[in-house]
Amino acid sequence: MKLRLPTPLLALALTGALALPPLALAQTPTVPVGYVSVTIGAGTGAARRISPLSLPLYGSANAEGQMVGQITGFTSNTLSNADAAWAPGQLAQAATPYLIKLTSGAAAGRTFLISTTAANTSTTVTIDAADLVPGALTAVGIALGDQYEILPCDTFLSFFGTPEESAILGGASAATADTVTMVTNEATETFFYSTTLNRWTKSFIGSPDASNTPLRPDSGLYYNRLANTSLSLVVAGQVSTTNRQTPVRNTGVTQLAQNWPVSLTLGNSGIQALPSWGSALAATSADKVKLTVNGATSTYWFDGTNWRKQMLGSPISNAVILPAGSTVTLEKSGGASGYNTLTQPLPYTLP
Amino acid sequence: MIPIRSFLAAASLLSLLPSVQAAVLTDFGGFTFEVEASITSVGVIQDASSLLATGVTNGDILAGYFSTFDISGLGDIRLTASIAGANPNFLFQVYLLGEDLASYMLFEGESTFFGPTASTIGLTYIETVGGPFTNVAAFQFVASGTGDPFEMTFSKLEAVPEPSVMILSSIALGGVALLARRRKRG
Repeated sequence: MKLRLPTPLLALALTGALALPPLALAQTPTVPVGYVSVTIGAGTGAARRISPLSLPLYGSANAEGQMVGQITGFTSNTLSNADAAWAPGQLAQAATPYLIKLTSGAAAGRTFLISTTAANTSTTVTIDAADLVPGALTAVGIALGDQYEILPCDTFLSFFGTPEESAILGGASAATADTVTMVTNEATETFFYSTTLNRWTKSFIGSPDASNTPLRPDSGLYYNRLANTSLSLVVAGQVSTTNRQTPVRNTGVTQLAQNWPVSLTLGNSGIQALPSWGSALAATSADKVKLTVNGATSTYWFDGTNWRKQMLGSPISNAVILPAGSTVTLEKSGGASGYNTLTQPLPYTLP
Repeated sequence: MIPIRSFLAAASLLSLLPSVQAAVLTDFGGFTFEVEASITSVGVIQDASSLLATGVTNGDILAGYFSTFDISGLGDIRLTASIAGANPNFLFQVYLLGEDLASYMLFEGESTFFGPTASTIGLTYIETVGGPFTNVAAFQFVASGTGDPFEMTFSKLEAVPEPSVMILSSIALGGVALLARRRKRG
């Protein structure tokens, strides 16, 4: 997957792709491909406009061995396929990270980042430690024989490029550049393109190099545009073919990617069915969903029957759109530790 | 002698004046603004003439009611406020809601123009839902920005005539002055 402008080869709106039979390769069952366009609203030059962003399409892995296969063994932090024939180390390169997604069994729809610090062997990959914070592999329902697929994972550099390549605004510091925020290991982190260091940088002491920081498809991003022009980002690739399972913190903030290539509504998002989701008649007592559209953030809560907007009059908001390629922020109160899993069925029918 | 036609024209323009004067909807003080606690998500410290919102972050809301006001013909909305400490340079939205709480006018503003002392900025009109706005009765502020929590003091919300109405008013005043001058000479 790569940020790029629409090309004739990809000139097929995804919604159309889903509705139509497969392309010219119709004789061979194939996964629909297309693109999703996300507009980043213009800032003012002084104030930032927030735009939610996620990566709703997947690229194709270009590596040796079985990119689709069967799990023949697993531990708390490794997955194995005795017949994989992976090239040792190839799936563990920092600049070109990979994801492994379970596509069958009880954990179908869970996606993990393959570690770039522990080299894979020909049969075994190690999962990135950050993806095990919600729970070990032995606790997510994986069973021998489950199917998997390996997918490339974008990074800041591979997706956003540089100011010379795209219209992102770099700067000497985060204060003078467009910034991107995401939640990693329960902490909100800010990134920007440093025109001093000529690389993506984490806004942190020491200005760590973030060029190869992975953009997990389950993690929502917020692009905070300072420049006074809008920016069009196009995500190209293939659609997900499975349901989706995403860990959500039981207390605190989760930036949840709305990484389906089609829009959902609050009502059919399934968020209200999340185990332990706090519903209440009063907004002040309920868990919240925050959605930013055109730079304006709105807050919603579930009253047990309907989603409502936190606004004078508390209008019913079940039909509020969660756009494809966006992000919603979930705010859970209550003090419970750990994670629960949000399960969302495939919101479209594959050809 | 003033031609009767000129006199009537000037008088009719002059009659517009009462309806185009700036109107203070609220000063956010305890006597004119009632905070709606079930919606508000920021800390509130309110005195007689202003309101301090504390711990404001992205998505936070300040909502409340003021006396019903007719703002038809008063299309421009101005907010007077101040921000303590470093300005987080965020965008914010202001809803002005009708008494039914279903119709509203939505405006957007930029905190960049607020400093440690109170200043007044005009808000940018975004959209209208429902109406007419002869009975505006509620205010809702939503912060849409990044960064650390900050404090913001709300001092005054005004509705002022749109520029076209202001120009019309100026013409009317000019006409009246001219008539008065002619009358004096006569």
